[in-house]
Amino acid sequence: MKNSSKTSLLSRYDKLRSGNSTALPLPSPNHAYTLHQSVAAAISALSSLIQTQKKQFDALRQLLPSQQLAARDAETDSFFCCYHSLLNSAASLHLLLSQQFSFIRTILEHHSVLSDAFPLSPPDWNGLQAALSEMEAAMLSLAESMLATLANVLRAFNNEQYSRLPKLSHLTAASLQSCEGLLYFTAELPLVTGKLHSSSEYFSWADSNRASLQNASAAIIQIEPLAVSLWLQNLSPSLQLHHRKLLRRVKRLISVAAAYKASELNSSAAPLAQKPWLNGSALNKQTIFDPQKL
Amino acid sequence: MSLPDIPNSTPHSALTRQEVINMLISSIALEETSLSRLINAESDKIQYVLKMSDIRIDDILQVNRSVERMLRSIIKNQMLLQFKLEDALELQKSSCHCEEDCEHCQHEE
Repeated sequence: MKNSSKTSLLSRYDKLRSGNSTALPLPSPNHAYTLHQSVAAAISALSSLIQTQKKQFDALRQLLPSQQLAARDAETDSFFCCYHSLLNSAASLHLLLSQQFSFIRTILEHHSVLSDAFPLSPPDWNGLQAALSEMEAAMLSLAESMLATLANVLRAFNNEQYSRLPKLSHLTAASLQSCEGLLYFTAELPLVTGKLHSSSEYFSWADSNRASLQNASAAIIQIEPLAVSLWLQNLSPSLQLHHRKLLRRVKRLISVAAAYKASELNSSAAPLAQKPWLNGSALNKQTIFDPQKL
Repeated sequence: MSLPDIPNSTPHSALTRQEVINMLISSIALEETSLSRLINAESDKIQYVLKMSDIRIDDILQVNRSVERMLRSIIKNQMLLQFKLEDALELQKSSCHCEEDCEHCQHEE
C-alpha cells in the first residue's frame, strides 16, 4: 500500500475514534453506546417505514377506480398487482417487527445485567419510550389505512365476475392477516413497556391512537358484510373454506381490538402489583429503571 | 494436498474479560444502529418514489420488490444479531465471580 493512502486510512480511523465524523463510532471497552439507544433508533426507523407504508396504502386508495374500473381489465390488473406488491411488503414488515420484538424482549429479560455494564441515563430511557409510543401510533394508523383500503376494494369489486374472485379473496385474506398482526403487536406493546416502566403513565393513550383504533374497528365492521357477500357469490368449495377462515380472522381481529381496549382500560386503573406481566418476572425485583432515583 | 500454513501468533491483549464482553455488546448495538439506518434509507427510497409525478406502475412494483428484498436481508441479519446478543449475555452471566449471592446470580436460579 502506498504511504499516502495508508496515511489517509489512518486519519480516517483517527477521525472515527475521536468522534469527529458522522460515521458510527467504533466500539471501545468504555463506550457508553447502549443497546437501548440502538433499539430506540431501530424502532424509530421502523416507525418511519410503517408511516411510509401507510402513505402507500393511502396513495393506492386514490388509484382505486370507481365502479366502472372493474370493466377495464388492464387497469384493474395493474391495481391488483400494486395491491399484491404492497401486501408482500407488509408481510416482510410484519416479520421484521416480530424479530425486533423478540430482540427487545431479550434485552428486557436481561435488563439488570445490561444496566450494570451500561447504566441507563434518562435521555436513553425517554428516547426508548418516545420511540415505542411513536411506533404504536404508526402501527395503528397503518392498520386503519389497510382496512379502509380493503373496505373500498371489496365495495368496488363486490359485483366482480367469478374469474377475479380467487385473487380478490386471496388479497382480502392477506390484508386481514397483516392487520391482525399489526393489532397483535400494538396489543403487545403495553406488556413490553410495562416491563420497562413502573409508572402507569404510558397506558394513558394518546387521543390520536384511540381514534385510529376506533376507525379501524369501524372499517372491520364495514368489511364483514362485504366479505360475507363475497363468500355467498363464491361457488367453489375450496374457496368457501377459505372464506370461512377469512371470516373467522375478521372476528378474531375484532376480539384482538376489544382485548386491546380492555387491557388499556384495566392497566390504567390497576395497581402495579396486579399487572400480570410483572408478576414472577426477574424485572419485578426493583430492577426496573426509575428516573427519579438518579 | 498441502496443509494450511497457520502463522505462529501469540495474541496479547490488555483488555479484561469484562471489557471484551462490553465491547461485544457495544458492537451489537452499533450493528443494530446500522440496520436502523438501512431501514431509514428504504423508507426514504419509497417516499422519494411516492413524490415522483410521472412514474410507471412497473417502476413502483420494482421499487417495492427491492424494498422487500432489503427487508428480508435485514431480518436475517437481525436474527443473527439476536443470537450474538444471547451468547454475549450468557458470557456476561458466567463471568460473575461474586463471593456472595449477587442480584445476577439470584436471577439465574
